[in-house]
Amino acid sequence: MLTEEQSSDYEGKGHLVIKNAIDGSELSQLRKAFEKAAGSEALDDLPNQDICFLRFAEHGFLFPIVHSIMSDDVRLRSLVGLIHEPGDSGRGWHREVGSMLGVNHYRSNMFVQVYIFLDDVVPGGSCPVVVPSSQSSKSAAGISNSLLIDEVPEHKKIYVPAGSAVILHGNILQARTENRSDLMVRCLEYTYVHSWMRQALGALNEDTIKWLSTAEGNLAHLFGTTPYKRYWEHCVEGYPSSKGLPTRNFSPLRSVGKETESNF
Amino acid sequence: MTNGKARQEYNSQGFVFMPGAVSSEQVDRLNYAVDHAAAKDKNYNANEPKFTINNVLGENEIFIDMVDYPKIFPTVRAVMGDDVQLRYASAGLVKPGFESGGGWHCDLSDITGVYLPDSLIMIKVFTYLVDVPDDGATLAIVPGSHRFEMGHPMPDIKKHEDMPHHVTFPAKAGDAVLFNGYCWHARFHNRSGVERKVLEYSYCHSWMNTMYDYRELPDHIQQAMLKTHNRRQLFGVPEPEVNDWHRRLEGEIQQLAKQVGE
Repeated sequence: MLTEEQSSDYEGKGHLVIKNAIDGSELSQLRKAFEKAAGSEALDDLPNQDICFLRFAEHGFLFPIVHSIMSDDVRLRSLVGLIHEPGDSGRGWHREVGSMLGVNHYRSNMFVQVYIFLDDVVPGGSCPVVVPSSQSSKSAAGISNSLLIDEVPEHKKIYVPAGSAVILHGNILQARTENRSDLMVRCLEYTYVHSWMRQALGALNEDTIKWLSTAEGNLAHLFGTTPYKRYWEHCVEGYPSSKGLPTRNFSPLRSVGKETESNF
Repeated sequence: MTNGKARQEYNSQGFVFMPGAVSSEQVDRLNYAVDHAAAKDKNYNANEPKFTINNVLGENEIFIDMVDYPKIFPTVRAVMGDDVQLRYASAGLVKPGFESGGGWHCDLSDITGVYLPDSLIMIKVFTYLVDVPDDGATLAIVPGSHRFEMGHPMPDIKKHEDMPHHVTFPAKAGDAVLFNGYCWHARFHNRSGVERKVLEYSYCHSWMNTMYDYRELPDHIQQAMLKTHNRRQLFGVPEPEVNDWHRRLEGEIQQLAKQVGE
């Protein structure tokens, strides 16, 4: 779960960098499965490619952090593999949730991205860039689409060794630098939302669904294959209860004025 | 009602009342369809104080047509935005003479992640199929409560009527009321001599789940759902190659901020 420092960092800066989030054997396993999926041109269909990609959705170290950020109703939205080859042009400034209508995003917490890097992310190569704390600013605040990455004040380029994870708030201003090195960067992108929101996993094949039906933990819930419960109440189990970030208090009085029953 | 007026009313009050929204002929047809659906429902017991037909969509095409009913839907769209989608449709029957009101509550009190006082993720539209008198299981709302800070404490009151600043909605058959599910609201006891009969359509955004799967409904119902681009979006029919965060209705362009609160 989140340490107090991580919680404060995430609320304040909208991102976490966790170096060496997975160990050497996990890294080897993921690289091997990733290469196989890439060879089959199936990086956008990872749930059906290898069980290890399913298991990592509830990774023993990373998932409790995601759960603490998103709350008990956390669920996976998408899972893809990405390769940024030398010469990759990068991506300009954007907010992932920019097109999601109806929500005051700078005070909400709808979507979190978890990047697991399978290669070193080094200066000159393809790297994620963020404007720390921008998740709490209004979407139109001070950023023009024409601005180059380096022209945005206070931006931070994130360099990490292979096996590290970067966790981003959906409303943070982010970009990706052009890859001017001769090294490719491979990474996995797991994204999480609330369970009442739609998923974008693509169709799961029969084998995947069958495996999930007997999988331990919350994988079936995370991949959306559990039977329908109440709309707002699909939750993970087996973790200390979390209402997610930001921390807020709620009234203990849930229903008042019926006369016929106690208010508590 | 103009879209601008609807948004102004919604923004200040959290609800929009639409008198005479549905024609008397359509009300008659809907009454017939609801009665027929109730009679068919094996769980229906005429002696119970209240009964909800949970998924009316599969019962009759008329319920499909109510999703974009011309005198109601423009207001729904003006308030929810161009990514609107139907979350569920049901019909509610409340018998007279029972203490079957629902206490004051907020439908979204348990959800996490969304800053609700400045967001809008779900509305309900009640369409009245019978006259609902003052003492007839009226809907009641605390105006402006959709802007209350999260965790704003409810008063520890004993009776529905004790809620400060509330308004009730006695209605004529054919009237409709739209409100934000985050508003504090209640259904009072039905102390009149008539049954309350109401259609309840809940709308959300296309990036949210629906409470039904269009593929499980009868073929002719599905055909009605698939008829146009807007219907497909409203009923949550996936659009190939379009991310659910990017879905938008066609037609009249709404002047809506990309995000609430800008």
